[in-house]
Amino acid sequence: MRAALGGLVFSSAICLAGPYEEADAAFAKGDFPAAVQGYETALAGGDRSAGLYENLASAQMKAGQRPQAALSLQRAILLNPRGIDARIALSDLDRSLGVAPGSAGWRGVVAERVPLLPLVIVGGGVMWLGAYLFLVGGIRNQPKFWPMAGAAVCLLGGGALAAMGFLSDPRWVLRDAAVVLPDEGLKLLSAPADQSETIVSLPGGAIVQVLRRSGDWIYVRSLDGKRGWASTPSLEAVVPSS
Amino acid sequence: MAALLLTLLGLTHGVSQQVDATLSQDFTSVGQPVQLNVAVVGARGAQVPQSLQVDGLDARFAGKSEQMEMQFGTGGYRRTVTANYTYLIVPLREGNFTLPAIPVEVDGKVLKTKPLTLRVSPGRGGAIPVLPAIPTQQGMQGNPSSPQNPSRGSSQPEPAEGKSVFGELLVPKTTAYAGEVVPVEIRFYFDARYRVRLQDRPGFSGNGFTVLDLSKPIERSQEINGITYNVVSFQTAITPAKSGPLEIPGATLESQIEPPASQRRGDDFFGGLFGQMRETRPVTITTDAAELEVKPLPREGRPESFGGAIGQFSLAATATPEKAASGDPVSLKVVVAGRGNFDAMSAPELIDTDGWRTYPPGEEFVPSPSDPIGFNGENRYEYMLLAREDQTATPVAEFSFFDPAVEKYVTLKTAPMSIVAQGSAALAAPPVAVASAAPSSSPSPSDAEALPEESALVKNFVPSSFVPFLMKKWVWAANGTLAVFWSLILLVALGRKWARSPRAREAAALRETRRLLKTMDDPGIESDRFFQLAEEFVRQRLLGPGRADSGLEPRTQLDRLSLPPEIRLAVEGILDRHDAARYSTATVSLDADDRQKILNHLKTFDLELQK
Repeated sequence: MRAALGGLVFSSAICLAGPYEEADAAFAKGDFPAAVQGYETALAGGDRSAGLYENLASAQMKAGQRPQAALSLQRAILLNPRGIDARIALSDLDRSLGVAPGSAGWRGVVAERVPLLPLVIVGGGVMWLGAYLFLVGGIRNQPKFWPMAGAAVCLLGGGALAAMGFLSDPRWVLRDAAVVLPDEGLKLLSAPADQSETIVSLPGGAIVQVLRRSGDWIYVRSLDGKRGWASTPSLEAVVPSS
Repeated sequence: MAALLLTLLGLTHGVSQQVDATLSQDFTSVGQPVQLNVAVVGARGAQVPQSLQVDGLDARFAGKSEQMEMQFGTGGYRRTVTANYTYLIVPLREGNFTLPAIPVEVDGKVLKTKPLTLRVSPGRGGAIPVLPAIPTQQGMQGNPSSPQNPSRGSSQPEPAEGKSVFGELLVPKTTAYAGEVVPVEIRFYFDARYRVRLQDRPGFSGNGFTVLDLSKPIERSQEINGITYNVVSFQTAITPAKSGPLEIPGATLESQIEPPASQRRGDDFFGGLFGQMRETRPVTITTDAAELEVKPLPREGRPESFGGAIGQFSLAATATPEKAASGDPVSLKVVVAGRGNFDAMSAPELIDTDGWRTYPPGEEFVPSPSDPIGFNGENRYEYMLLAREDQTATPVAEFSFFDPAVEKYVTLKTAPMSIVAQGSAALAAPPVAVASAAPSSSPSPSDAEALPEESALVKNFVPSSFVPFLMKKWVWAANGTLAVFWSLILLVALGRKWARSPRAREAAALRETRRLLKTMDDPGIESDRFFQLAEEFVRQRLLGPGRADSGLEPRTQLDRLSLPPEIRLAVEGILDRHDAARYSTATVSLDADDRQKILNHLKTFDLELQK
C-alpha cells in the first residue's frame, strides 16, 4: 500500500515536472516575481496541487504580494485541508495583515483533523450496507428487531459520517468565498456606488462570502457578519473559476 | 383559566438539599487570609457554626448571601435557592491544615461538607491582620462575640458613631511586588433601617496600578456597635505597575437612600435595591485610601524561562495522539493552573525539541468557577508538534514563575510523555517560507530559518481538484448505481410479496377460470368437452378458486345469489345440458350458434358476478 502510494506520488511528480522547475530556479535566485509567474503558469496549465500553491504563496510573500499569498494559501488548504504548514503560514500571515481570526466551526475542525475522502467513502459504504441490510431484513416475513436496529444504526450513522465529510469539504464550504486583494484593504459600502457610506473596512487578505453580484459590484458578508457592497476587481474567488 | 395559570406557574420546591465547601485558594502564607465558602443549595435559614476550631488557623464566620434562580422545566417553574456562608480564615502559622467537615443544619437535618486542605507557607513577618467584625444574624449558632469594627491593617475605616452609611477598602497586604495581582475587596455599609438603591457600580481606579473588573455585588447583613448594617461588597484585584510606594485611592459609590420615616411597611433592603422609593436623597460614599509598598522582582535567581508570571501555579501536560503517522501533528496540551497574573504571563517553553518542529501555541484562559474576578483559573496552551525524525517521547514544557508568598522563583517541568511519532523526510526541510517571511511582529516557528531557501519549497505534488466531493461525478455514479440496485431489489421484493398475497392468488385463479372460455371458443372442440368446460367455469366462478372440488353443489350456490332471472335460467340450462351430455348415452347436439349463445351467457354471467 505504502509502495503504491509512493509510486503515485512519484509518478505525479514526474507528471508535474516542467514549468514549476523554472519557478523553483527563479525562487532560488531571488527573482520572486519570475517565480510567481512560473508557478502561476504551472497552475494555469492545470497542474493543481496544494504544494504548488504553497510555493506560489512563498514567492508572493517574497515579492510583497501578501494578500495574494493569503489567497494562495487558502487554495492550498482547500486542496489539502490537513496541510498544517499552510494553515500555520496563513494564520501568521493573517495576523500580520490584521485579518481577524474567524471561527473555524465544526466543519473546519473536521476538515483539519479528519481525512475527508476516507470519511466520505467509509461513511457512504456503511450507509449503503445499512440500507441493503435494512432492505433484506425488511422483506422477510417476520423481521427481527436487533438485525433491523443494527441495519438502521449503520444506515443513519454511515449517512451522518458521509454527510459530515461532504459538508466539511472546504471546497464546498468556501465555494462562495472571496479574498480581498488590494494591499490597502477594501471598504464595504452600504450601496453599489463609490460615494455611499462605508460600513466596515476590511484588510487585504480578509475573506468574505459573496452573496450576489450586480454588474461590477458584489454584495458580500464579512466574517463578523457585516454586509455591504464591494467592487468586483477588489475580490478574487477562493475557488478558481476554471 | 386561573387554575391553568396556577398550574403553569406552579412553583416546584423539589430540589434536594446539598452543601458544598470551597476555598478561594488552597495555598497561602502566614497572615494572608483566604475565604471559605459553604454553599447550601435548596434551603434557606441553614444553621452553620460561628467559627471553626482548627489549631493554627483563625476561622470566623463573615457573612451570608442568598441567591434564587427560577427555571421553567417540565413540571412548571423550578425555584432553586442557594445560600452562601462565608468564613474568613487567617493562618497563624505555616503547615498543612485540614479544615474539618462543617456541620450544616438544614430543616432539622445535619448535612456535612467535605474536609478541605489548606497549605500555608511561612509569612514575611509583620502583623497578622485582624479579622473583620463577626456579624450577628439569624442562622448563626452559638453566642456571637462582641461586634468589632472592620479593621485590617491601615486600610480599615472606623465607622463614626451613628453613621448611617460608610465604606471600606480591604487590601490584604501592605507590601507587594510589581506585576503581582493583589485581591481587593470594597465594602459599603448601609444602616439596615434605610432602603437603598445603588445608582451604579463603584468607581475605583488610580495611577500606578491596573484594576480587574469588579465582581457582582455580594449582599449580607452585619452588626457593628449595636447597629445592623446591610453590606454590599465587591471583589476585584489590582496589579502595581512599578516599584515604590503606591497610594490606592478610595472607591466611590453613588446611591440613593430612603430615610426610615418615609418607608412603606414590608419593604426590605434588597427589595429597595430594585424597587421604587419615596423621598430619597442621593448619597456618595467614598472609602478611605490605602497604601501599598511595591517592591521590584528580585534579579537574583531569575530563571531564563521566566516570562513574567507571578503567583502560585501548577503545571500539567497531555499529548495526543499516542501514535502519529509521518507528517501527522502531535498536540501537546500544557495547562498552567493556579492564581496570579494570567494575563501577563508568557507560554511555557518547550525544551528537548531536537527532531521536532514546534509552533507557537494557542492559548485559552479558563477562570475558576468559584472565582468572581478571574484571579484563579488556568491557562491552557496547545502546541502543535511535527516529528522530523522518529520520536518516542514529547518535548518537555518548562514554566517559571515568581511566588510572592515564599519570595522565590519556582521552575516547573513536565515529564516527557511516551508517544510514537514517525518522522517525515519532507519536514526535515524548513517549513513553507511564508512563516519566516512574515513581519517580525508575527510569531514564527521556533526553528524556522531566517530566509527561505529553494530547498524549503514543496517538491512532491499530488494533483488535486477544486471540485468538492458533492459535485464529483464518481460520487454521483457510485451512489446512483447503488441506489438503482437498491431500488431494483426493493421492486423485486415487493413484486414477490404481492405475488404471494391472497388477492394476487385470487386474480391468478380468475385468469385461469376465464381461460376456460377461450378454450371453449375453439370450434373444433367436442360437445361433451364443451359442456364439461362450461360446467367447470360455472363451478369455479360460483365457488371460488380452489373450492371447485369442495363438494358444494353449484345450483345451491346459484340459488343464494341475487342474479337476474334470465341469467340464472341460462346458467341452469347450461348445467342441465352438461348433465345430459355426461349421463345420456345419446350424443348431445351442439351447433355453432348454440355454442356462441352459451358462450355469451357465460360471459354475461361472469360480468354479473364481477359487479
